[in-house]
Amino acid sequence: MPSSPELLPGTLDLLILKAVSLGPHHGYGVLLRIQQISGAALKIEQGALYPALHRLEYQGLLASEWGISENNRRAKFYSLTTTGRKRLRSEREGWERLVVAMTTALATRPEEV
Amino acid sequence: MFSRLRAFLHRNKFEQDLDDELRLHLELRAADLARAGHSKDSAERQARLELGSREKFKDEVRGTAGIRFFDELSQDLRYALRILRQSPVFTIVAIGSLALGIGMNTALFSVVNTLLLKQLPYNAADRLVYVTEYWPHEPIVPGPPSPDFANWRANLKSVDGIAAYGGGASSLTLTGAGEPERIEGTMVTWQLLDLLGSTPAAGRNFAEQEDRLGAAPTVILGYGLWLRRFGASADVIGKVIQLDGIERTIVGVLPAGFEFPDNNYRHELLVPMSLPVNPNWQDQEHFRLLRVLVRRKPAVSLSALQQELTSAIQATASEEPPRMVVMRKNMEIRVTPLRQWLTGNVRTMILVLQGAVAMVLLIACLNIASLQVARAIARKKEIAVRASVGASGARLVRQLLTENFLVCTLAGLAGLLIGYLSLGALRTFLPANLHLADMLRLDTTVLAYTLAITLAAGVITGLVPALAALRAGLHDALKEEGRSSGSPGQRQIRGILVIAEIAAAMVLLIGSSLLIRTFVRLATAGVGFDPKGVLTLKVAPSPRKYPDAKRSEFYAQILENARVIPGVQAAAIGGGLPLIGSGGAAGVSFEGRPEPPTGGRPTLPVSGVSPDYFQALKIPLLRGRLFSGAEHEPAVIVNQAFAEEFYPGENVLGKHLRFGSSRNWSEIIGVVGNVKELGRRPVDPFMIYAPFHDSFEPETYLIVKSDLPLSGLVASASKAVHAIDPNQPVFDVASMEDRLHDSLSTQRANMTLMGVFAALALILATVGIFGVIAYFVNSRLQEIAIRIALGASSRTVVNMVLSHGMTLAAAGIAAGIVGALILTRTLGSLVEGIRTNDAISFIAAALLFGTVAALACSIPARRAARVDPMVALRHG
Repeated sequence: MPSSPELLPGTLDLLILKAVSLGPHHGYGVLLRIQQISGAALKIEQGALYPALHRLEYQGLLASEWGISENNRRAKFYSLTTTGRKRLRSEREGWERLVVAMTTALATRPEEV
Repeated sequence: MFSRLRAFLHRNKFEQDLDDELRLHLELRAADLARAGHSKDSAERQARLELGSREKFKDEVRGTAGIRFFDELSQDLRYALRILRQSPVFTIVAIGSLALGIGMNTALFSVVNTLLLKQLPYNAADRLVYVTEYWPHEPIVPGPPSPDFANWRANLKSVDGIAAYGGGASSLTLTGAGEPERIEGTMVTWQLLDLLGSTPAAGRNFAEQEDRLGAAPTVILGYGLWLRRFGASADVIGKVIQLDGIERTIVGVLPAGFEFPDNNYRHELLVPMSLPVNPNWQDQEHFRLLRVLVRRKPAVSLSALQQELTSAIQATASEEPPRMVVMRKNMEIRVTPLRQWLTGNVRTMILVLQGAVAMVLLIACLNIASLQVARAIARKKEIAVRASVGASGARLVRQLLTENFLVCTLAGLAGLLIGYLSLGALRTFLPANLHLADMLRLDTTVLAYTLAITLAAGVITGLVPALAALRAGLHDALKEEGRSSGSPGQRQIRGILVIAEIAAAMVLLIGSSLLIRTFVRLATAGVGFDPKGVLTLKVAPSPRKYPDAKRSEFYAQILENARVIPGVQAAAIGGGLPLIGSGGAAGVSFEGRPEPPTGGRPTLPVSGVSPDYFQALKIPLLRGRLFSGAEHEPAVIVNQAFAEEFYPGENVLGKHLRFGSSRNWSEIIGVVGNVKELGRRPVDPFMIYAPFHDSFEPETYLIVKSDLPLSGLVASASKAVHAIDPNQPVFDVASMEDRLHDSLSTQRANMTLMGVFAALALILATVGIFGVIAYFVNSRLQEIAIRIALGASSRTVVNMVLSHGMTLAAAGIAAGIVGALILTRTLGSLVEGIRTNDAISFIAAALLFGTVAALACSIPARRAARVDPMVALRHG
């Protein structure tokens, strides 16, 4: 894997919610989708993915269903619940505020202080 | 919690799913890698590497799903068992002392539950109320007079049931088929059985007209009598039996478990009380003092009921004869709910005892908590290691709590067993007139209580040490030596725990010492007679068979026969007995003093006795002379209390008294010592003794003093009666020593229980202080070694340890004395004759505790003095 920035803590959950919001996926599909939408810029620990999926499911943000994968295996497909959708929206607004704040802060020049 | 449990129960399926999910991931990833040019083998290896350790994150996933909680719980349990097995002494002491505490609490709570909480076994028992009258000028009023009862029964609006029973002794002689037999029965009004909700085993309850004066005589058999005498045959209904020469028709049989609310009444059979329909104060023949029980209507308050009862009586006050008017001047009607009536005198004592056992349990918990704090500190290293390899704080606390809950659960189970086994013993301790004691059970309420105190014990014993250990373990452990005596904070916790323990034990010790001293004072105070070797039995000849003159002759014959029994030193007849009271009472006039209006004379106890009564019981003659048996003029003997009350500062000898309606004056020829009524009344009762042939007592005691073994004496004394009349039953056979023993049974039981609790508390607190001091020495071995190496004498070392221990003990003792001063004050109102400010009890308890504490400290102190500095420092 190419070297890419580490994920900030807490952002994996947000990325998973976003990836699943684009359509139900099994675990590996979620991983590929995240890499795809982030332009492979973000590095996902594969080992952290499944605990995160289970945690989100346990919290009721994701629903799961067993189906058949593209290679004809039994596969667990995750989809977004209503709560998950709400959470995604609020997390995203929070994230955008953070980005704006961080950007403004980091762009500050000495004469502006 | 349920989803966790479900996940735990379905863990196989869960694991399977997880494996499937991960395998799919590996396959897809490997396929992608292979497409990107990896060889098949290298693609699979790479995929596995990227995913990381399957086990590690399987564990994490499991944690999310909640399975870890149970995995950890079983891990904690296994670990706790191992730890507990490693220190068997601690485990046994902890489980044993908690089990004792829980067991005794369970047993006592079952008493509280039965007496104070559980529904009484009567119909609408919460609305049943006893009605009593209090006459200020009469020492004891057994109950309202029958005219009042008739008045209430006719007029009360606020009750939906009213009944009476008692009204004098009702022993009846059953004759006819088989041996004549004396049967203890009770007179009741017709509604009593319906009021109590009793359903007959056969036949019916009494009907409304059957308690009227002049109604056809009927009887209801007790279940026992029905079995014994009539073979439980249903055919007895409608049959006629002879009781005291009267033919009565059997109308019903009481159910097997029937009990009067108070055990003073017998129910071998019930006969209807013959009462005039209307209140009739003139009819002396049917005048009775009754036990009156009413059931108030649901909406009626106690005070409204009392109001109605009082005004009903006032309405008929003008019909009362002058004698009653004088006696009932300023009288009060009292209404007492049934439960309060039944448990009034034991209620508070039981609550005190419950408080005492709760304190024992608290001490046991504090003890274990303090030992656990010490152990937790000793285990600091172990805890630190566990913390450093990643156990979270919560997890560590949980581990320690699991250990304590394991101890408490085992103790709770053992305690339940102890409680169950001690129920039987408790039953014998309860006053005999509470038949409620037969209903003691470990029911669900009691079990819930046991569970609750077990959990509470778990929290008390577990949480304090767990938090202490956590603080010690996480913060200092890795920095400090594992051997220090803990932070000042922990020393303080242990100190406070031990002080609290000692204080609680001191309260119990002082309380029980007060009870013991009261009891000893009661038991050793002269009772005024000598019970040794005295056998007493009761004879009650039927008035029909033995009218007055014949009865006196019958008594004289019995006496003749009893006197000649070989080995008998003295035989006597007495209408009453010490501890039981007089046979009768009479209005008394004093010669030379103005005669009060009719009915205004004091009613005083009079006992008819034979001349040897005083010798047989060794009641001392103080002045004058005893009866010779051949008095020409009517004569009486009085006791000292009588002489002091009615002839203060005068010579009572030669004064004359007149009794009841008799016209003859009786001369007081002697004064004898008071006979005490132990534990019943604080003052000695007045007593007038008259020659038995002058008093014609309906019932009398034969008193035989001998140094023969009692068992043989019972047979020969009974023979003295049966030689004259083989049909005459003798009953209430008991030695005076037994009667004396029984009269103190309640006090003895209270004292014994309190004593046992206090002894346990003392032992537990001693173990506690020993544990703390031993730990103190252990943790300071190095310091002690250095002191010894620097030349400290063993005396200095011993003093250092002792002063630490004794400071704790002194603080605990002081706190205990203060607590006892506050708490024992309640005892004053409960226990007749107790002196709650008894300095000796306080001093003795303090000394005892001081000594025991010093002994407990001296063992570790001596050990400290023997420390070899070289060894201690090398291994330190």
